Amino acid sequence: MQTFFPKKYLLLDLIAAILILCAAALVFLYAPIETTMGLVQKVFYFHVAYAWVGMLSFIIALVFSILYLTKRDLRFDLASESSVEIGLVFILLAVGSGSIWARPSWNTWWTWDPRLTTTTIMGLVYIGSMFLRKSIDDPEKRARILSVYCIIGCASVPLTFFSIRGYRSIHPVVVGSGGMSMNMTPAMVHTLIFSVIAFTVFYLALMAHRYTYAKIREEVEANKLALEDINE
Amino acid sequence: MKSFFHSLITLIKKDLSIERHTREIFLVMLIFALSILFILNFALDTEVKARSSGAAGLIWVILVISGQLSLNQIMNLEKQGNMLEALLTAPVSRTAIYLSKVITCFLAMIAMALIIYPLYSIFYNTPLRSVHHLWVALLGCWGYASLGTLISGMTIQTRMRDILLPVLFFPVIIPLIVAAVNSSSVIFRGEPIGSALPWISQLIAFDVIFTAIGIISFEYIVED
Repeated sequence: MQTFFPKKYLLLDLIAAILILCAAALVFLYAPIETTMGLVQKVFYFHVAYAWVGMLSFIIALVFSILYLTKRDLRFDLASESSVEIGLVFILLAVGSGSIWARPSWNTWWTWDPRLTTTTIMGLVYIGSMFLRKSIDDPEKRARILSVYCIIGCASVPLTFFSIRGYRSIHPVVVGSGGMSMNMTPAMVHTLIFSVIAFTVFYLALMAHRYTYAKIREEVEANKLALEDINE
Repeated sequence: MKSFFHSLITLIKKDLSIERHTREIFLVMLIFALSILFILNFALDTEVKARSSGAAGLIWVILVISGQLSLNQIMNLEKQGNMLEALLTAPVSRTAIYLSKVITCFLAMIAMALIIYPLYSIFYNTPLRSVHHLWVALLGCWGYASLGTLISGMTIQTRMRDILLPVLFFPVIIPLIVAAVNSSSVIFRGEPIGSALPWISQLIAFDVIFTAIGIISFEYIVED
Protein backbone atom coordinates (compact mmCIF):
# COMPACT_ATOMS: atom_id res chain seq x y z
CA MET A 1 0.00 0.00 0.00
CA GLN A 2 1.25 3.41 -0.89
CA THR A 3 0.84 6.24 1.61
CA PHE A 4 -0.29 9.62 0.35
CA PHE A 5 -0.83 12.79 2.25
CA PRO A 6 -4.59 12.84 2.91
CA LYS A 7 -6.26 15.84 1.26
CA LYS A 8 -8.42 16.52 4.30
CA TYR A 9 -5.32 17.46 6.25
CA LEU A 10 -4.86 20.39 3.89
CA LEU A 11 -7.94 21.87 5.50
CA LEU A 12 -6.15 21.68 8.85
CA ASP A 13 -3.19 23.54 7.33
CA LEU A 14 -5.51 26.22 6.04
CA ILE A 15 -7.24 26.65 9.39
CA ALA A 16 -3.86 26.81 11.16
CA ALA A 17 -2.61 29.47 8.74
CA ILE A 18 -5.73 31.59 9.14
CA LEU A 19 -5.66 31.25 12.93
CA ILE A 20 -2.02 32.30 13.15
CA LEU A 21 -2.63 35.31 10.91
CA CYS A 22 -5.58 36.25 13.11
CA ALA A 23 -3.42 35.79 16.21
CA ALA A 24 -0.77 38.09 14.73
CA ALA A 25 -3.47 40.64 13.91
CA LEU A 26 -4.79 40.45 17.47
CA VAL A 27 -1.31 40.82 18.93
CA PHE A 28 -0.46 43.92 16.90
CA LEU A 29 -3.84 45.60 16.51
CA TYR A 30 -6.11 44.50 19.37
CA ALA A 31 -3.89 43.96 22.42
CA PRO A 32 -2.87 47.21 24.10
CA ILE A 33 0.76 48.24 24.40
CA GLU A 34 2.08 47.42 27.86
CA THR A 35 2.93 50.57 29.83
CA THR A 36 6.28 49.65 31.38
CA MET A 37 7.77 47.28 28.82
CA GLY A 38 6.38 48.84 25.65
CA LEU A 39 6.32 47.10 22.30
CA VAL A 40 8.69 44.29 23.24
CA GLN A 41 6.00 42.80 25.45
CA LYS A 42 4.26 41.64 22.24
CA VAL A 43 6.78 38.76 22.18
CA PHE A 44 4.92 37.43 25.20
CA TYR A 45 1.91 36.16 23.21
CA PHE A 46 4.11 34.03 20.98
CA HIS A 47 6.54 33.06 23.73
CA VAL A 48 3.82 31.50 25.90
CA ALA A 49 2.33 29.71 22.89
CA TYR A 50 5.72 28.23 21.89
CA ALA A 51 6.42 27.04 25.43
CA TRP A 52 2.93 25.53 25.64
CA VAL A 53 3.30 23.64 22.37
CA GLY A 54 6.79 22.49 23.40
CA MET A 55 5.42 21.02 26.60
CA LEU A 56 2.29 19.64 24.96
CA SER A 57 4.33 17.72 22.39
CA PHE A 58 6.43 16.29 25.20
CA ILE A 59 3.31 14.97 26.92
CA ILE A 60 1.94 13.62 23.64
CA ALA A 61 5.26 11.89 22.96
CA LEU A 62 4.97 10.32 26.42
CA VAL A 63 1.44 9.11 25.69
CA PHE A 64 2.53 7.54 22.40
CA SER A 65 5.55 5.94 24.09
CA ILE A 66 3.36 4.29 26.71
CA LEU A 67 0.95 3.23 23.96
CA TYR A 68 3.82 1.66 22.05
CA LEU A 69 5.03 -0.32 25.06
CA THR A 70 1.54 -1.66 25.73
CA LYS A 71 0.29 -2.20 22.15
CA ARG A 72 3.59 -2.82 20.28
CA ASP A 73 2.44 -1.01 17.15
CA LEU A 74 5.28 0.75 15.35
CA ARG A 75 2.94 3.52 14.24
CA PHE A 76 2.88 4.81 17.81
CA ASP A 77 6.64 5.08 17.71
CA LEU A 78 6.47 7.12 14.50
CA ALA A 79 3.97 9.46 16.15
CA SER A 80 6.19 9.81 19.21
CA GLU A 81 9.18 10.55 16.96
CA SER A 82 7.18 13.25 15.15
CA SER A 83 6.05 14.85 18.38
CA VAL A 84 9.59 14.96 19.79
CA GLU A 85 10.96 16.62 16.68
CA ILE A 86 8.27 19.30 16.55
CA GLY A 87 8.55 19.83 20.30
CA LEU A 88 12.27 20.50 20.05
CA VAL A 89 11.72 23.28 17.50
CA PHE A 90 9.11 24.94 19.70
CA ILE A 91 11.23 24.62 22.85
CA LEU A 92 14.11 26.33 21.05
CA LEU A 93 11.74 29.04 19.83
CA ALA A 94 10.38 29.49 23.36
CA VAL A 95 13.85 29.86 24.88
CA GLY A 96 14.98 32.14 22.06
CA SER A 97 11.95 34.40 22.18
CA GLY A 98 12.17 34.44 25.97
CA SER A 99 15.75 35.67 25.74
CA ILE A 100 14.76 38.41 23.31
CA TRP A 101 12.09 39.54 25.74
CA ALA A 102 14.29 39.16 28.81
CA ARG A 103 17.10 41.38 27.53
CA PRO A 104 15.10 44.66 27.50
CA SER A 105 12.79 43.87 30.42
CA TRP A 106 15.13 42.10 32.88
CA ASN A 107 18.35 43.53 31.46
CA THR A 108 19.80 40.05 31.01
CA TRP A 109 19.64 37.40 28.31
CA TRP A 110 19.43 34.58 30.78
CA THR A 111 18.54 33.91 34.39
CA TRP A 112 18.63 30.64 36.32
CA ASP A 113 14.93 30.59 36.90
CA PRO A 114 13.20 27.19 37.35
CA ARG A 115 11.05 27.66 34.25
CA LEU A 116 13.92 28.68 31.98
CA THR A 117 16.18 25.97 33.33
CA THR A 118 13.57 23.23 33.16
CA THR A 119 12.54 24.19 29.63
CA THR A 120 16.11 24.11 28.42
CA ILE A 121 16.76 20.78 30.13
CA MET A 122 13.65 19.48 28.39
CA GLY A 123 15.24 20.60 25.12
CA LEU A 124 18.40 18.67 26.03
CA VAL A 125 16.35 15.54 26.71
CA TYR A 126 14.70 15.96 23.29
CA ILE A 127 18.07 16.31 21.57
CA GLY A 128 19.40 13.29 23.47
CA SER A 129 16.49 11.17 22.34
CA MET A 130 17.05 12.23 18.74
CA PHE A 131 20.68 11.12 18.96
CA LEU A 132 19.52 7.87 20.49
CA ARG A 133 17.06 7.34 17.63
CA LYS A 134 19.77 7.88 15.04
CA SER A 135 22.12 5.35 16.53
CA ILE A 136 19.86 2.27 16.68
CA ASP A 137 19.03 0.46 13.44
CA ASP A 138 16.57 -2.24 14.43
CA PRO A 139 13.11 -0.57 14.37
CA GLU A 140 11.60 -2.69 17.17
CA LYS A 141 14.53 -2.21 19.49
CA ARG A 142 14.67 1.49 18.62
CA ALA A 143 11.01 1.96 19.45
CA ARG A 144 11.34 0.10 22.74
CA ILE A 145 14.42 1.94 23.97
CA LEU A 146 13.14 5.32 22.80
CA SER A 147 9.84 4.77 24.60
CA VAL A 148 11.62 3.99 27.85
CA TYR A 149 13.88 7.03 27.48
CA CYS A 150 10.87 9.23 26.82
CA ILE A 151 9.25 7.97 30.02
CA ILE A 152 12.44 8.60 32.00
CA GLY A 153 12.67 12.11 30.55
CA CYS A 154 9.05 12.84 31.35
CA ALA A 155 9.57 11.69 34.93
CA SER A 156 12.81 13.59 35.38
CA VAL A 157 11.91 16.97 33.90
CA PRO A 158 9.06 17.72 36.36
CA LEU A 159 11.32 16.52 39.19
CA THR A 160 13.92 19.05 38.08
CA PHE A 161 11.31 21.76 38.18
CA PHE A 162 10.17 20.57 41.59
CA SER A 163 13.69 20.48 43.03
CA ILE A 164 14.69 23.96 41.89
CA ARG A 165 11.38 25.74 42.26
CA GLY A 166 12.44 27.17 45.63
CA TYR A 167 15.15 29.22 43.90
CA ARG A 168 14.66 32.96 43.69
CA SER A 169 12.95 33.90 40.46
CA ILE A 170 12.09 36.95 38.41
CA HIS A 171 10.01 35.09 35.84
CA PRO A 172 6.35 36.16 36.04
CA VAL A 173 3.70 33.59 36.90
CA VAL A 174 1.19 33.75 34.07
CA VAL A 175 -1.21 31.07 35.19
CA GLY A 176 -2.46 31.30 38.78
CA SER A 177 -2.00 34.28 41.03
CA GLY A 178 1.46 34.19 42.54
CA GLY A 179 3.08 37.23 44.11
CA MET A 180 4.61 38.20 40.76
CA SER A 181 1.67 37.55 38.47
CA MET A 182 1.33 39.92 35.55
CA ASN A 183 -1.45 42.44 35.55
CA MET A 184 -3.14 41.73 32.25
CA THR A 185 -6.10 43.58 30.81
CA PRO A 186 -8.95 41.45 29.38
CA ALA A 187 -7.77 42.27 25.83
CA MET A 188 -4.35 40.83 26.66
CA VAL A 189 -5.88 37.68 28.12
CA HIS A 190 -8.05 37.18 25.03
CA THR A 191 -5.08 37.62 22.71
CA LEU A 192 -3.01 35.17 24.74
CA ILE A 193 -5.70 32.49 24.75
CA PHE A 194 -6.30 32.94 21.03
CA SER A 195 -2.62 32.70 20.23
CA VAL A 196 -2.22 29.53 22.32
CA ILE A 197 -5.16 27.94 20.49
CA ALA A 198 -3.81 29.00 17.10
CA PHE A 199 -0.43 27.44 17.79
CA THR A 200 -2.01 24.26 19.13
CA VAL A 201 -3.85 23.86 15.81
CA PHE A 202 -0.60 24.62 14.01
CA TYR A 203 1.04 21.85 16.06
CA LEU A 204 -1.66 19.40 15.00
CA ALA A 205 -1.14 20.32 11.35
CA LEU A 206 2.62 19.85 11.70
CA MET A 207 2.05 16.51 13.40
CA ALA A 208 -0.10 15.36 10.49
CA HIS A 209 2.66 16.26 8.02
CA ARG A 210 5.52 14.86 10.06
CA TYR A 211 3.69 11.63 10.81
CA THR A 212 2.84 11.08 7.14
CA TYR A 213 6.45 11.77 6.27
CA ALA A 214 7.62 9.17 8.81
CA LYS A 215 5.22 6.61 7.39
CA ILE A 216 6.35 7.25 3.82
CA ARG A 217 9.97 7.00 4.91
CA GLU A 218 9.32 3.64 6.55
CA GLU A 219 7.63 2.47 3.36
CA VAL A 220 10.60 3.51 1.27
CA GLU A 221 12.90 1.61 3.64
CA ALA A 222 10.72 -1.49 3.38
CA ASN A 223 10.64 -1.24 -0.44
CA LYS A 224 14.41 -0.86 -0.54
CA LEU A 225 14.86 -4.01 1.50
CA ALA A 226 12.37 -5.88 -0.67
CA LEU A 227 14.23 -4.78 -3.82
CA GLU A 228 17.54 -5.94 -2.39
CA ASP A 229 16.00 -9.31 -1.68
CA ILE A 230 14.75 -9.59 -5.25
CA ASN A 231 18.15 -8.66 -6.68
CA GLU A 232 19.84 -11.29 -4.59
CA MET B 1 12.41 -15.04 46.90
CA LYS B 2 15.33 -16.96 48.31
CA SER B 3 16.57 -17.87 44.85
CA PHE B 4 16.22 -14.21 43.85
CA PHE B 5 18.63 -13.08 46.57
CA HIS B 6 20.89 -16.01 45.85
CA SER B 7 21.23 -15.08 42.17
CA LEU B 8 21.55 -11.39 43.08
CA ILE B 9 24.47 -12.10 45.40
CA THR B 10 26.08 -14.47 42.88
CA LEU B 11 25.87 -11.84 40.15
CA ILE B 12 27.39 -9.18 42.39
CA LYS B 13 30.18 -11.57 43.40
CA LYS B 14 30.83 -12.26 39.73
CA ASP B 15 31.19 -8.55 38.92
CA LEU B 16 33.38 -7.93 41.96
CA SER B 17 35.67 -10.82 41.16
CA ILE B 18 36.05 -9.61 37.57
CA GLU B 19 36.87 -6.21 39.00
CA ARG B 20 39.37 -7.71 41.42
CA HIS B 21 41.24 -9.33 38.56
CA THR B 22 41.07 -6.62 35.93
CA ARG B 23 40.80 -3.44 38.02
CA GLU B 24 39.24 -1.75 35.02
CA ILE B 25 36.54 0.19 36.81
CA PHE B 26 37.50 1.54 40.17
CA LEU B 27 41.12 2.40 39.60
CA VAL B 28 40.42 4.19 36.34
CA MET B 29 37.64 6.16 38.00
CA LEU B 30 39.83 7.11 40.90
CA ILE B 31 42.73 8.32 38.78
CA PHE B 32 40.31 10.26 36.60
CA ALA B 33 38.73 11.87 39.68
CA LEU B 34 42.14 12.77 41.08
CA SER B 35 43.12 14.48 37.86
CA ILE B 36 39.95 16.57 37.93
CA LEU B 37 40.69 17.42 41.54
CA PHE B 38 44.07 18.76 40.44
CA ILE B 39 42.68 20.64 37.44
CA LEU B 40 40.27 22.38 39.81
CA ASN B 41 43.25 23.76 41.68
CA PHE B 42 44.35 25.69 38.61
CA ALA B 43 40.81 26.70 37.71
CA LEU B 44 40.27 28.13 41.21
CA ASP B 45 43.81 29.34 41.72
CA THR B 46 42.93 32.74 43.09
CA GLU B 47 39.39 32.00 44.20
CA VAL B 48 40.13 30.79 47.72
CA LYS B 49 36.60 31.50 48.87
CA ALA B 50 35.01 29.61 46.01
CA ARG B 51 36.96 26.51 47.00
CA SER B 52 35.13 26.23 50.30
CA SER B 53 31.78 27.73 49.42
CA GLY B 54 31.52 25.66 46.24
CA ALA B 55 32.90 22.49 47.82
CA ALA B 56 29.64 20.52 47.66
CA GLY B 57 29.05 21.39 44.02
CA LEU B 58 32.62 20.66 42.95
CA ILE B 59 32.75 17.32 44.76
CA TRP B 60 29.54 16.22 43.08
CA VAL B 61 30.74 17.36 39.68
CA ILE B 62 33.78 15.15 40.17
CA LEU B 63 31.62 12.21 41.27
CA VAL B 64 29.15 12.62 38.41
CA ILE B 65 31.79 12.86 35.70
CA SER B 66 34.02 10.08 36.95
CA GLY B 67 31.08 7.84 37.84
CA GLN B 68 30.11 7.87 34.20
CA LEU B 69 33.22 5.79 33.45
CA SER B 70 32.00 3.04 35.74
CA LEU B 71 28.56 3.09 34.14
CA ASN B 72 30.09 2.56 30.71
CA GLN B 73 32.33 -0.21 31.89
CA ILE B 74 29.78 -2.06 33.98
CA MET B 75 27.59 -2.85 30.99
CA ASN B 76 30.41 -3.18 28.45
CA LEU B 77 31.63 -6.00 30.64
CA GLU B 78 28.60 -8.02 29.59
CA LYS B 79 28.68 -6.89 25.99
CA GLN B 80 32.10 -8.44 25.44
CA GLY B 81 31.66 -11.95 24.07
CA ASN B 82 27.88 -11.56 24.11
CA MET B 83 27.77 -12.22 27.83
CA LEU B 84 24.56 -10.24 28.13
CA GLU B 85 22.71 -12.71 25.90
CA ALA B 86 24.05 -15.58 27.95
CA LEU B 87 22.95 -13.85 31.13
CA LEU B 88 19.49 -13.20 29.76
CA THR B 89 18.95 -16.79 28.74
CA ALA B 90 20.05 -17.98 32.18
CA PRO B 91 17.20 -18.69 34.61
CA VAL B 92 17.71 -15.44 36.47
CA SER B 93 15.10 -12.73 36.86
CA ARG B 94 15.77 -9.50 34.97
CA THR B 95 15.32 -7.55 38.16
CA ALA B 96 18.17 -9.48 39.75
CA ILE B 97 20.43 -8.68 36.79
CA TYR B 98 19.51 -5.01 36.96
CA LEU B 99 19.89 -4.74 40.72
CA SER B 100 23.22 -6.56 40.70
CA LYS B 101 24.57 -4.01 38.22
CA VAL B 102 23.16 -1.15 40.27
CA ILE B 103 24.73 -2.47 43.46
CA THR B 104 28.14 -3.01 41.86
CA CYS B 105 28.07 0.48 40.43
CA PHE B 106 26.84 1.85 43.77
CA LEU B 107 29.73 0.19 45.61
CA ALA B 108 32.23 1.73 43.21
CA MET B 109 30.58 5.15 43.55
CA ILE B 110 30.39 5.10 47.33
CA ALA B 111 34.02 4.02 47.60
CA MET B 112 34.88 6.97 45.34
CA ALA B 113 32.84 9.35 47.47
CA LEU B 114 34.57 8.09 50.63
CA ILE B 115 37.90 8.98 49.05
CA ILE B 116 36.97 12.22 47.26
CA TYR B 117 35.23 13.93 50.19
CA PRO B 118 38.23 13.74 52.59
CA LEU B 119 40.73 14.41 49.80
CA TYR B 120 38.90 17.56 48.79
CA SER B 121 38.82 18.59 52.40
CA ILE B 122 42.60 18.09 52.73
CA PHE B 123 43.63 19.62 49.39
CA TYR B 124 41.45 22.68 49.61
CA ASN B 125 41.50 23.16 53.37
CA THR B 126 37.73 22.86 53.77
CA PRO B 127 36.61 21.16 57.00
CA LEU B 128 34.02 18.40 56.49
CA ARG B 129 32.41 19.33 59.85
CA SER B 130 30.17 16.29 60.23
CA VAL B 131 29.75 12.61 59.40
CA HIS B 132 26.31 13.34 57.97
CA HIS B 133 27.98 13.65 54.56
CA LEU B 134 27.88 9.88 54.57
CA TRP B 135 24.07 9.76 54.34
CA VAL B 136 24.03 12.22 51.47
CA ALA B 137 26.71 10.25 49.67
CA LEU B 138 24.87 6.96 50.18
CA LEU B 139 21.56 8.32 48.90
CA GLY B 140 23.09 10.29 46.04
CA CYS B 141 25.23 7.40 44.82
CA TRP B 142 22.29 4.99 44.93
CA GLY B 143 20.11 7.25 42.79
CA TYR B 144 22.99 7.87 40.41
CA ALA B 145 23.69 4.14 40.07
CA SER B 146 20.05 3.15 39.63
CA LEU B 147 19.28 5.57 36.82
CA GLY B 148 22.76 5.35 35.32
CA THR B 149 22.67 1.58 34.99
CA LEU B 150 19.38 1.81 33.15
CA ILE B 151 20.65 4.41 30.67
CA SER B 152 23.87 2.46 30.26
CA GLY B 153 21.76 -0.59 29.41
CA MET B 154 20.25 1.46 26.60
CA THR B 155 23.43 2.97 25.23
CA ILE B 156 25.39 -0.29 24.96
CA GLN B 157 22.84 -1.39 22.38
CA THR B 158 23.48 1.63 20.17
CA ARG B 159 26.19 2.38 17.65
CA MET B 160 27.53 5.41 19.49
CA ARG B 161 27.78 3.64 22.86
CA ASP B 162 30.06 5.45 25.32
CA ILE B 163 29.65 8.86 23.72
CA LEU B 164 25.90 8.73 24.03
CA LEU B 165 25.77 7.90 27.74
CA PRO B 166 26.51 11.38 29.18
CA VAL B 167 24.29 13.05 26.57
CA LEU B 168 21.32 10.96 27.64
CA PHE B 169 22.16 10.59 31.30
CA PHE B 170 23.20 14.04 32.53
CA PRO B 171 19.97 15.92 31.64
CA VAL B 172 17.82 13.37 33.49
CA ILE B 173 20.02 13.05 36.60
CA ILE B 174 19.91 16.80 37.33
CA PRO B 175 17.15 16.69 40.00
CA LEU B 176 19.15 14.19 42.03
CA ILE B 177 22.33 16.26 41.75
CA VAL B 178 20.47 19.41 42.80
CA ALA B 179 19.24 17.69 45.97
CA ALA B 180 22.62 16.09 46.72
CA VAL B 181 24.57 19.33 46.25
CA ASN B 182 22.15 21.32 48.36
CA SER B 183 22.13 18.89 51.25
CA SER B 184 25.92 18.61 51.13
CA SER B 185 26.39 22.34 51.16
CA VAL B 186 24.10 22.70 54.18
CA ILE B 187 26.37 20.27 56.02
CA PHE B 188 29.52 22.01 54.76
CA ARG B 189 28.22 25.27 56.20
CA GLY B 190 28.09 23.59 59.61
CA GLU B 191 24.34 23.94 60.01
CA PRO B 192 22.43 21.25 61.96
CA ILE B 193 21.29 18.23 59.93
CA GLY B 194 17.68 19.32 60.47
CA SER B 195 18.01 22.16 57.97
CA ALA B 196 19.13 19.71 55.29
CA LEU B 197 16.13 17.44 55.88
CA PRO B 198 13.94 18.79 53.05
CA TRP B 199 16.75 18.10 50.58
CA ILE B 200 17.50 14.69 52.05
CA SER B 201 13.86 13.69 51.84
CA GLN B 202 13.91 14.77 48.20
CA LEU B 203 16.95 12.57 47.68
CA ILE B 204 15.07 9.62 49.18
CA ALA B 205 12.05 10.33 46.98
CA PHE B 206 14.21 10.49 43.83
CA ASP B 207 15.97 7.27 44.79
CA VAL B 208 12.65 5.49 45.15
CA ILE B 209 11.32 6.89 41.85
CA PHE B 210 14.46 6.12 39.84
CA THR B 211 14.83 2.63 41.26
CA ALA B 212 11.18 1.88 40.50
CA ILE B 213 11.54 3.16 36.93
CA GLY B 214 14.70 1.07 36.57
CA ILE B 215 13.16 -2.16 37.82
CA ILE B 216 10.05 -1.73 35.67
CA SER B 217 11.71 -0.67 32.44
CA PHE B 218 14.91 -2.75 32.46
CA GLU B 219 12.85 -5.64 31.10
CA TYR B 220 11.80 -3.62 28.06
CA ILE B 221 15.33 -2.54 27.33
CA VAL B 222 16.96 -5.98 27.22
CA GLU B 223 13.96 -7.77 25.78
CA ASP B 224 15.50 -9.82 22.99
